[in-house]
Amino acid sequence: MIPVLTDTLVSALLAARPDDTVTVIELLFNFGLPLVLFILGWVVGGRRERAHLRDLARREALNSHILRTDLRAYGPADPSAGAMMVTAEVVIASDYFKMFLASLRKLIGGNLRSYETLMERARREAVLRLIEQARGHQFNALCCVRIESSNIGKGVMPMVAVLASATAYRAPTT
Amino acid sequence: MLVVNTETVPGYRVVAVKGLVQGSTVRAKHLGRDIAAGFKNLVGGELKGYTELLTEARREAMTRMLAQAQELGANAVLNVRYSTSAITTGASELFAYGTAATVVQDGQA
Repeated sequence: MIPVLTDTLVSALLAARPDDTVTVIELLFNFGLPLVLFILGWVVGGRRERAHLRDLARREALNSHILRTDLRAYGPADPSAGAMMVTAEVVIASDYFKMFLASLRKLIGGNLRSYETLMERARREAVLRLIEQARGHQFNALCCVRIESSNIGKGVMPMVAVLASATAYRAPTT
Repeated sequence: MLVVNTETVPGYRVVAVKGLVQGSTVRAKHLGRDIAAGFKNLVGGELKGYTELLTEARREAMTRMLAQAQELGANAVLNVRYSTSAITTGASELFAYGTAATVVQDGQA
């Protein structure tokens, strides 16, 4: 991102002549488009992320009583209810603004906070979908939760795919 | 068919282990979805098209695994695991495997 910008800047400056409309159009194309995408990512992407985080918090509060473990063994279980495997998948895209922040961050190293929230959102969403599926079948506990994630994005635009699975069973309610 | 990713099922006991069963699918996303995802990529958010694609692929792999289990005469698949691998850009394999077994409810012969 940054090397590309400086590259185009240098080549645009080298090619710049007064009254050269081609250069103006070139400049607009090279800087205007990323700028629009940057603002779009910032405003729309930011709003979508906040909305998603609010939605996650609301649904997590509704489901906080559901016991979930990644143990291979069940907790106290109601034997008459049996068990069922549940699976959920989530694919979430990054936005142009996050990508820009990350490319700046990569210059100095450290936590890529903008991507951390992306991974976090995808995983929380996947686990919530497991819980909602389990509840849909009258189960109230999950064990053996497995979460697997992979980056399926091409080039610099990350796209996160999360595949989560678990076994749902019924814990006796006291 | 009872499917779990644990080794036991509450209320049931394993009377026969039939062996490993597996199913896989290799799927590609179609161009329309790719383009839609490209736009979505600029503003962030869930890529529903890709999520559905994964769900379909997983169901297909699961169906194939269950068919194998049925052929072995099993009534349950235990310890199911998924594994994914990217084969080329835009195509990925979803692989499901587990152990086919015969289970009976506790208290029954």
